[in-house]
Amino acid sequence: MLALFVARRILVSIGILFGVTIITFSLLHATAGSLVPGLDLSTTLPEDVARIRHNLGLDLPLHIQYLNWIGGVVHGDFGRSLIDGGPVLEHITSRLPDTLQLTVTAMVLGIVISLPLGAIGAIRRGSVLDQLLTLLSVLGVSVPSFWLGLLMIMLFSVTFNSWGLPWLPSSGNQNAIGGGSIEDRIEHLIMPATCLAFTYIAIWSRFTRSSMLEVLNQDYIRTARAKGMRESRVILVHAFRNAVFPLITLVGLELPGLVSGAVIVEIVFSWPGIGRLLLERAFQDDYTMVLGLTTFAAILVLAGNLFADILYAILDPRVRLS
Amino acid sequence: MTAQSAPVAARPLGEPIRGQGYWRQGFARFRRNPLGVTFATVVLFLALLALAAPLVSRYVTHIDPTQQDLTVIFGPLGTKGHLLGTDELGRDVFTRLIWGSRVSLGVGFLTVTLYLLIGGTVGLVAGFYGGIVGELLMRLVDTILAIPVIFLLILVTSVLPIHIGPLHIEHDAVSISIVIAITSWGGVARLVRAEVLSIKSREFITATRSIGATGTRIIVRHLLPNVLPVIIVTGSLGLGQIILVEAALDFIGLGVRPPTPTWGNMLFNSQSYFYHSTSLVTLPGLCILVAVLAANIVGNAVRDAFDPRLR
Repeated sequence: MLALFVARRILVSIGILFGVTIITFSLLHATAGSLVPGLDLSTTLPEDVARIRHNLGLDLPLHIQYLNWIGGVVHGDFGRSLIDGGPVLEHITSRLPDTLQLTVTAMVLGIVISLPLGAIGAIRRGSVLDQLLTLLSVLGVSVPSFWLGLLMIMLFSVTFNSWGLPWLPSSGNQNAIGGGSIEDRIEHLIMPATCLAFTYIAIWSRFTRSSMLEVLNQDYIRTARAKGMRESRVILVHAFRNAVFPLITLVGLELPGLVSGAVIVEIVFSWPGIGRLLLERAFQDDYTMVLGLTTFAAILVLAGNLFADILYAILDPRVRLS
Repeated sequence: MTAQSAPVAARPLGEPIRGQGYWRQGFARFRRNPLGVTFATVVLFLALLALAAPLVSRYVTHIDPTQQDLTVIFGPLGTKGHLLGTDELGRDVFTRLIWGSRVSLGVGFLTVTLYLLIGGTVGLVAGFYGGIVGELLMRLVDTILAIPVIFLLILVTSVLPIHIGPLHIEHDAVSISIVIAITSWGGVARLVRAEVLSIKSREFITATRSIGATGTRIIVRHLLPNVLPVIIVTGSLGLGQIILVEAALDFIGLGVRPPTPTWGNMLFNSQSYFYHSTSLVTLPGLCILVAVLAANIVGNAVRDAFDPRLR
């Protein structure tokens, strides 16, 4: 039964992936047409233009181009960049670790900070502290991350530097000259990761709070208190553990964000990850690259959803029976 | 005057009882939420300010948002004639911020309207008719939702301008609205469809069907009024998000482009001038924050007042 469920979900995902590639491919090629980036049509001989386009396969009918491309994708070949000729997949895999370094750090920070904040908010419900935390989380989902990033750079890089205080580097993931040590990398990671974690903290602490409030009203909590258990033990062992479970699925939903969640923050802090790669190549009309990155991101989203669905099915038998 | 305080029994036949309807109750609940009312006023004020931008230019600051004055570049706050200072070309920041609100709020409201229309229609049709069409529509929704929004937006905006017949989609506010709307209606469609599916099986729909009502009539007269709360709540929760997304697009250079001043592209510009002026960085961001915060708080208040599932 579970195998059948999984097989069906995988088939549906593959179908959706084909839909994604058709939409993105036709969008890019219908609008960009047979454009070759960097080719100045006014100074290039028509036969040279024709030859270059032929070499890149851009003179074939659109559906043939698509079939050629998708045939490659199925075999793990996303084509070559129109700018530097390098394999698209190699570009992606070389940038992926940097993005993951940033997003994983931010998510871990988010979990570590939001869980206690949310729990405290629930336990001290209605107190000044709780209201402050509520305000903070509303601010957290409303503040533009790119502005927050700029403010951080302005304060911790520019102002601290001018005051002679220890300051944080504002861009990149390591120093260009003599960089790459652990300390150097951590120094570079602090600001972008904090900036990115801010939103996670805002959302997850709210969720923990309401989940904790719900649990605190349960009968078994009353029972635990009634039998004279210490309040700290009631909270930590009985309430908190149960309140955290729903959060696991919420964090699971953010899995695709590991790759696509940091685009804006990467751009603000010039972090050499997937998002910056996408923007750079989009500006340079490197369509194969943009197409490859988008397809890659969609694969991860679908894989994430699939993973969550299967996990649900294993944990909750009702899902796979319906 | 006395008619209102008259006992219910004295009410003329056929006149509906006032003040008991769903919307009235919702509005009453909304009015009892001081935070919601306060920030609804803020949103309204910002919207009015945005509409009045040309008037502000003409009668208050006496200056155009793009008018340069190289004798007063990087003027600090409170410079004579420039309340909020000037930028690197001596343009008046206050005037530019007001004009910027036009783009942010304009795109916000237009996009929300558009995506509610698209998502609502798709959700209603897919939910009510089901079958092959419904299935195909929902697969389309799955497909759109499978691409991270920011990737899809960068992909679409990077190939602008697009010309589809008489429609020219470029880097202007209306175009960006359309682009954001067509990339983000999937969630609305899903919500509306789910709601339709649950309402469709209720008895009053069966009853309507049994007296021979057509599909269109059932959708327009019976389903739409019942899914309207979901649509409105989704829309009001989405406004802040759209303002953020639009500003982010301007900031990375793919949204509304200069010379049109927007909060996002003013921020983009300010990055190069950290050492000259901090207010160029703080002010546009503050505007975005206030607008988004107000929209989010109003959205939450609207949800609390109108979401049928919370009652």
